[in-house]
Amino acid sequence: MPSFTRRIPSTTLPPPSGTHPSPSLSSLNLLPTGLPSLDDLLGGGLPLGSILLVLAPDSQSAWSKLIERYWIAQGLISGQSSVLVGGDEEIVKGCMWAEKGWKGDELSQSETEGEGGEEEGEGKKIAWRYERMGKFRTTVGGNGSNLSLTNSIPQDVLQSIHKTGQQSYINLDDLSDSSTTPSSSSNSAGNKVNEAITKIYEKVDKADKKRAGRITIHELGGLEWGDEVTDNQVHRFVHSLRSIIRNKPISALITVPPHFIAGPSQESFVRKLSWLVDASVELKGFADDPTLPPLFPTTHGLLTLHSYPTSHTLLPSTLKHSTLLGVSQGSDGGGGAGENNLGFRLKRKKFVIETVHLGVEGGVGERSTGPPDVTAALSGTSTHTHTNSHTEVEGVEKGHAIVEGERVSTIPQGDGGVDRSKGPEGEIKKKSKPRARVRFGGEEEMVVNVSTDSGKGGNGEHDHGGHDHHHDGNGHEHEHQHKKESQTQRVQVRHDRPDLYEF
Amino acid sequence: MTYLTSHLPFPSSSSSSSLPPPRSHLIISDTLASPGHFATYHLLSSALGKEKRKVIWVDFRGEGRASWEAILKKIGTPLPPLTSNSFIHISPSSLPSSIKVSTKNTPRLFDGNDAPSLRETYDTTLSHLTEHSLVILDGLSELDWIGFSALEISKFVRAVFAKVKLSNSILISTLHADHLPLSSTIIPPKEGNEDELLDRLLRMGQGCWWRIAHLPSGRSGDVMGEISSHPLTKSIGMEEDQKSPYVSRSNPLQYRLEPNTVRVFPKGTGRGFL
Repeated sequence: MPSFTRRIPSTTLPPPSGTHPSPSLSSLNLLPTGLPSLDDLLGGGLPLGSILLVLAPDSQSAWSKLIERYWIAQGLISGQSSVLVGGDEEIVKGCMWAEKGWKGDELSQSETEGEGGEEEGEGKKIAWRYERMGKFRTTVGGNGSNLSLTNSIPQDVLQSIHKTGQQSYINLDDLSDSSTTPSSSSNSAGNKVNEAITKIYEKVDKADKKRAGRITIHELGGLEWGDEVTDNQVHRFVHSLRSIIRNKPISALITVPPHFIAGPSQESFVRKLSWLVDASVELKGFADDPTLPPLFPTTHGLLTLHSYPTSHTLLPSTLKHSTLLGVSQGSDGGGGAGENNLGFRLKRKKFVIETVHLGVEGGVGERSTGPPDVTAALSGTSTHTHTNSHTEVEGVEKGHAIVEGERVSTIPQGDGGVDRSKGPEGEIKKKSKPRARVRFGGEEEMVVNVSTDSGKGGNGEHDHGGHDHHHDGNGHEHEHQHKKESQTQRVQVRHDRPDLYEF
Repeated sequence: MTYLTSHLPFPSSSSSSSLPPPRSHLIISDTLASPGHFATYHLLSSALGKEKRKVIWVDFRGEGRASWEAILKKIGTPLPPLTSNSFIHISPSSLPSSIKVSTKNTPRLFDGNDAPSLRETYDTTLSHLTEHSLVILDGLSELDWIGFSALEISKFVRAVFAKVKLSNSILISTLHADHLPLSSTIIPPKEGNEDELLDRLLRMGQGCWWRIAHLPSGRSGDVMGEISSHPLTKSIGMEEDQKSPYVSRSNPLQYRLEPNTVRVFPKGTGRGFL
């Protein structure tokens, strides 16, 4: 028998189903978001009574919608009530669902253990000194509900959640009809925001006090919310929402349309919103910026944690427990390092948040000595190419004359001619230089062309084609006789334009 | 349990040097990456623990009593029970007037016409104000963002401060100051008159400004932020030796949050450094 036993008050209520106590404070219950890696960033999960803001400034993709669906699916699967504000049934219908055979948390844990066993059982021989080293991990393991993107919510579940009222909606279009109440004198948008708060208040008031619940605010301030929702109205909505759910076993997730956080005052707006909510993450997808995917080949976007839950603990749980953020102080007493760079990736079955690292050779898959060729990803160079191609043709004529005169000296002179004629412009637009070399050079230059020009757009190549037709009468046959060996190479090289090299 | 006392001592003409002298105003500003809640907890803990002052907390942020209860228990100064008169939690509500708010310590921020008004909050605060209390106006920036003008807020603070001075109490205001430059090179973009509220409060003077900011190098587990302290103009009749602590921006104190306390150390002397 231990001499001292911890006295636990007998009156403590069991935590609502689907929640777990915070690692920092046992009386604080956390709600899993459905994404184990996001839970890790929040310090174990989102505390009950708090608001999570998900920002996705990338207008071309819908990362925030994906997080929304994870959030809703996790709630539905654990039997919690769910209210969707401002969105329609389509969002719930598109939710992912648990893998088949999943029965509860225990099984999912045993599955992950099984995976670990497999890795061990592979029987790879590793040098003994590395044997005990763990595998390098960029993300954290899951204690989630095994939600898989390959499964969607079953029809029978959909029917039952709507029948039992587990999933309900607050439709903003209906509000506009009923907004004839003479309660307020401000514009229609303000009316809608107020009406929405009133509806949420009624829902929360009627909800079961012992059952955890989730509120999802879809695209706050978007088109459905009225014509002109001001920043102040959005801030007030969040402030009111917080006061409604603060002492309830309910948490909320808010998404904001991308256009709302665009513009010159974006940074300050995001900052204010991040202060008003409890936790705020920004998912910056790469779809807006084609130069980024080549730089981060294994990531689909970068993630910024603007704020994390600070209530109930002096040292926020995120700073203490988050593996991904990486500022936690280890058992040795020396955390020391700064925070990690974070990104996210959509895999076949799940969405993960992971740390972003440079590749083996400084960020690209293969060894390179220059900066990555991001220009290949951009295709807005057509206007400049035209002027350059014109110069090129001039150079071609000069080179052509020399070819007729003396064949042996063709290569250096022709090359020089092109370079001279392009001198001033070549400096402005260096890209055209290798293209000219390709035209008149020998075998070596051909090879250069292969490596530099193969990725460029079709515009330049078209000019080349036009030029080669000029050649057909004169220099063509000479080349044909003297450089047979190089022809095979050429054909291989320009397989995309066989018409240039028909001999 | 007052972790900031030895580093930021106030003139000790009063009973303790943890709290600002009576009839003065302490402004605490913080940034998103380094929230300054810990400074408020320090003052609250001193007031409730050693000094036995009455505390009136006007919670504009909507933080909630449960959060503070948990933290102060951890620090070692539990909050007085809900029924006690020595800790008053006022939580102004921004809900529209169609929703009924019942409890008496929940004044409305918006009147029947949905226009912002601090009158009710002012009246509620004053109704609790007694001699030698500590009034905390927590989250003035949030007021600014939900629709109050900086002028209105500063008028409200000035009015409360006038009453606080009459009752020999102490006033503490907290707000966010992300717009302030971290160094000569890191100057965050500023929107409109974001700095107006802080300017107005600072011009009010008669106290001290604690500026809490994050490190320009980002989050870290060893150093979570910096504190600097700037005395403001003295009020008439205050002694010359009643000087508030001065810690410059160029050589600030740094701090690290721990589960039960906060470690404060001069710049560059944290763990792992000389």
